[in-house]
Amino acid sequence: MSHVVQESPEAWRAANWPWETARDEETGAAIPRPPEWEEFHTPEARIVLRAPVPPGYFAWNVALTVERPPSELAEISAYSSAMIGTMALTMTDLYVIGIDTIELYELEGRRVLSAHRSGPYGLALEQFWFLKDGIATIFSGTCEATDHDEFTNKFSQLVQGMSLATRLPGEQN
Amino acid sequence: MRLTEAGVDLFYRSGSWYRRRRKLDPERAEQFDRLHEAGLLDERGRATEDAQPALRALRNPWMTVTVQATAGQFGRQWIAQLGPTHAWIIAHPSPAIGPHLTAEQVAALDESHGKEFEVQIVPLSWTPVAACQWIGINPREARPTGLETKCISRDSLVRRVADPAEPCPEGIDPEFWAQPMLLWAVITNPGGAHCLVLDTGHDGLWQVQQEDSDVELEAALPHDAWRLIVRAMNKAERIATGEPAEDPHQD
Repeated sequence: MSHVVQESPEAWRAANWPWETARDEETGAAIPRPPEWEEFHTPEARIVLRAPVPPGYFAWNVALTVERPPSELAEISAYSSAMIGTMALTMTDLYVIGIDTIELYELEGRRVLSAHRSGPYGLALEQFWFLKDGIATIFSGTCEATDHDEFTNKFSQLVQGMSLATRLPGEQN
Repeated sequence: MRLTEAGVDLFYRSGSWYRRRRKLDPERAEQFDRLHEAGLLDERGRATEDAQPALRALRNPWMTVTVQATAGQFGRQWIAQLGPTHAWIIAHPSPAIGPHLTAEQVAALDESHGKEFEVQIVPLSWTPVAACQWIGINPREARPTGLETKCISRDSLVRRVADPAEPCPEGIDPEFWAQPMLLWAVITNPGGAHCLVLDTGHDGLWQVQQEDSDVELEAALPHDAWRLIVRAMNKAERIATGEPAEDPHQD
């Protein structure tokens, strides 16, 4: 098990990160936003960050999603199995490369690296997910598979500065 | 799709002259049918429009990626020739270590895999994934943790990969030594040899570093092994396209 960092995400961002923070006020989730990356909010994801790329290239992106899993999936192993099962049903030619246990601010989570096809692209999908107080926060970083070595460190850095969701939209803390 | 060398040759030469099926010998005629059924050749033996990206990769690759795998007495290869948009991949059967294979079973896998090759045509960015699938980089139930390393005599390791009966060297965990072992390397053109990895099934993946007569095995997560393949391809691409070398301090 690897320890990502022991500080709070807010303290870590203040000390280490010169970038702005993308926040979702409704859930409390937040993530550093690299300069020039565009920020979106969509029904599916609370925060989407997309890198600027020339036309014709796949736009590397990061999505933060938040959900409350049912009680039988409240434990990280069960939740991870269910997540990967769903991915296998919904993604073309999904291939899971690695599943690692990681720790973020003393909270156990998973890093899952997989690949799938989308149109003309072979994509690498690097995900980190954590469960806290019954709420799952899922970080999904996507790039072309051949670009992944360039982006995996950036994905890890963004996760280090990520604040987990504390509630679902419409819920009070 | 599976092809013999004759089938690959038929596709390579498609369009250079008409190859009506009835003029071909029985083996080539059968290979012709496979290529036609796969949509790569038309009825007159010309490469179809859909086959052009694969044909460009086969005839004039700007980069080649080879994965060489060794276990027991056998060696197998996976070769990707990269064209502008697609890769043409030709490979022996996958040597990936299954979850229930013993060291003896892996070492005894038959070297004679017939005359046929597995052929894949994939978008360029799927190439490292195809390599990963063939070599069997995938999640492991139990795997090395932390920064574990082992130092072993190179000759002992080579003999052990070839023969599970090789005695366990002093200082090495006998349980580790009893695991199925598959050694694989990534070689690119341009670029040459990039990395050597030992797959020990349940005991995980190990990057092999040569040190005189010894080798050091450094525990590697599947994520790390995947990055070795992608990094080898990126480095070869930079050489092939004349881009400057990666800044070693970038990370």
